[in-house]
Amino acid sequence: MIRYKVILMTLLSTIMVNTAVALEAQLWGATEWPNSPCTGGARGYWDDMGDAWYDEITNTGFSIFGLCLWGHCDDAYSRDYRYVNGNLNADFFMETQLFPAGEDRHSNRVDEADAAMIFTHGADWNNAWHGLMRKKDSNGDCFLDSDTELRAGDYDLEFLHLSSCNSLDDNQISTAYQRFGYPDKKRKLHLLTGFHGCMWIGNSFVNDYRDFADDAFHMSIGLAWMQNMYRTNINGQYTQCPVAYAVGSTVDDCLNRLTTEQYDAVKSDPSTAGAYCYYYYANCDPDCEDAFGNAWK
Amino acid sequence: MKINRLLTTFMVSCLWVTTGSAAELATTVKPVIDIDKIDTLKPTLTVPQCEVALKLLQEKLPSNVGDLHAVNQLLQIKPVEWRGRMKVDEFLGLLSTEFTQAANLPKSFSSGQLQAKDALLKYTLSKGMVRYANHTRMLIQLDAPPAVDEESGMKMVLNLADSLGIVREEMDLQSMKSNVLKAGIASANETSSVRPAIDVERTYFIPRKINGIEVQDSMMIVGINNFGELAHFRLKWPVLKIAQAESKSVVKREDLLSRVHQWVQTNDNQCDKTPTLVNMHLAYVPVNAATDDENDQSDEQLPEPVFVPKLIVNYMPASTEEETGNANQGGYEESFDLF
Repeated sequence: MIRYKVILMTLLSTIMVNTAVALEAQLWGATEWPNSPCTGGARGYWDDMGDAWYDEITNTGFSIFGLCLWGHCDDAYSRDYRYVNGNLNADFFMETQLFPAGEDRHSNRVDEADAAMIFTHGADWNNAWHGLMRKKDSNGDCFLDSDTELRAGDYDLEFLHLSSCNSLDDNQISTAYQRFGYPDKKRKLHLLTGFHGCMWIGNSFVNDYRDFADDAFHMSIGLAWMQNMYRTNINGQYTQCPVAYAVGSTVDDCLNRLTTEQYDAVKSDPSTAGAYCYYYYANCDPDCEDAFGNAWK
Repeated sequence: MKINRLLTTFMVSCLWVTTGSAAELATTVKPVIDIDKIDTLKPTLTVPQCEVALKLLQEKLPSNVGDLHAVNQLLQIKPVEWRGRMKVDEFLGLLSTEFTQAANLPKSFSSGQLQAKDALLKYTLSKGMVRYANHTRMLIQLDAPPAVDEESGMKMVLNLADSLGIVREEMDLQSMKSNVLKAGIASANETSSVRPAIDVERTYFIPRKINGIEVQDSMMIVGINNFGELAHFRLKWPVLKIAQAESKSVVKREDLLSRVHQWVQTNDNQCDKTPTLVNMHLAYVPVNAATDDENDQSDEQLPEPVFVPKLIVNYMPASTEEETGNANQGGYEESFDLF
């Protein structure tokens, strides 16, 4: 009898979880770049790190009659799309309005989701992030260029996480809001997270990504990114410098979004990107770059 | 990941065949390569030799690696059950007043959560996890005073640790870092330096060490706001239980070095250039950290972690971004078995 009750309650709780309309998460990235000309060093743990985020943000857990016992229950995002390696190229992320071959708002593409993570090697080039892809795109190169090609959020995306070197260097701060959607569109990306300088890949970083996703249901996504990605104890000397960046119609609106928006407390889209604001750690000094802020001196 | 491992296995196999040890290859997995003979193996490799990296690896390999007595000492840890030392009333007193007034804490303070108007406390003590966030205290106020000074904030952190029962010797205060979290603001089209940044909080990152050895994935992160209030903290401090080593024999130094060298060759496609950083140290590594099979499990469901001492290698390839326009390769880390 007890067993039947348990089964019945399980079924009911499952139904209760499934009735909610879940926001959508996507994971994109590469771990190997073996083919010329888009070559790069293999990083086997990167998909484990990305999956840790993807699994946690989509972790429905278990609830009984509305009581969430573990996981994120109704607040969990759905597993919308996962694409690792394969024919990864910049057309997948390129703004449709700017480039005929751009697919960013197509089905199963990044601007159709609500939260997305892209993990790949990155470079700071002309004060912009260039993410290394595995194949050449329709513009004839191996990189997703944030200064010209990436305009996410004008269709649907709210949160974009870049697990990539140089994805939010200090010299990119004053123009990074341009990535937040095609200018004449009212919809905008809410939050972009990335790194100043080089980041790290390894087994001990996997749980940082899980913890980040978990924390972002309990505190602002920006702060969760900062506290889980800041690493000073990589053998006591290496620093990893996270940055979280938001936009708003005014400075107050921007700060409000940066400090309060959670995965389970999503605000309406910013109507304009009249102001930008960002979290960083003072004097954070990573590899591949000077300390944060030196670019402005 | 799997392709990566296959590639590594393939390369190790190539080396073995060259040294004429095919029969041995069939009987053992561990390669034993004489470092002095590595030059003679060069023609068989299809990737750069990473000779510069090899020299650095030789220099950085900790002296106790391969030493049976020294490595076995790492297994002799008496776990400190800090959970029994926890002073619950004192601990709750440091948090929101709502929690202090709510004296309805379950008798078995082991797993669950307390929710107040603006704050949430979640805990799973069997995993050594406690998490607290107060949303009001995390808000940015434009007219707030600057961040608290490091020393006064540190007193709060130590009080918190004491109330939780954390043993002071396990807190790696030498490697501890505090940093001021700042918020930069600007209107669009303004440059970033136009307006001064705002202090948001002072954050403390306290790593864990036992007998001088780092404990991976175990730390305390504490945020103190500009008014000197505890804004949030996260504790991951599982009782350090050592997994039984599968083998009682210790991996030889040269064997371990060759494995690390193989790993570098596989992962750094520019390893003929001097890497930016190479470092190696020993650490206790949780062996049941997130695995593919446990993807859908939350922290509450995962088993209590057990640890094994391993060699950790941190490697940052040479930066070639500025000269070639290529992407930076990112630092990578791998752990290697000592037994």
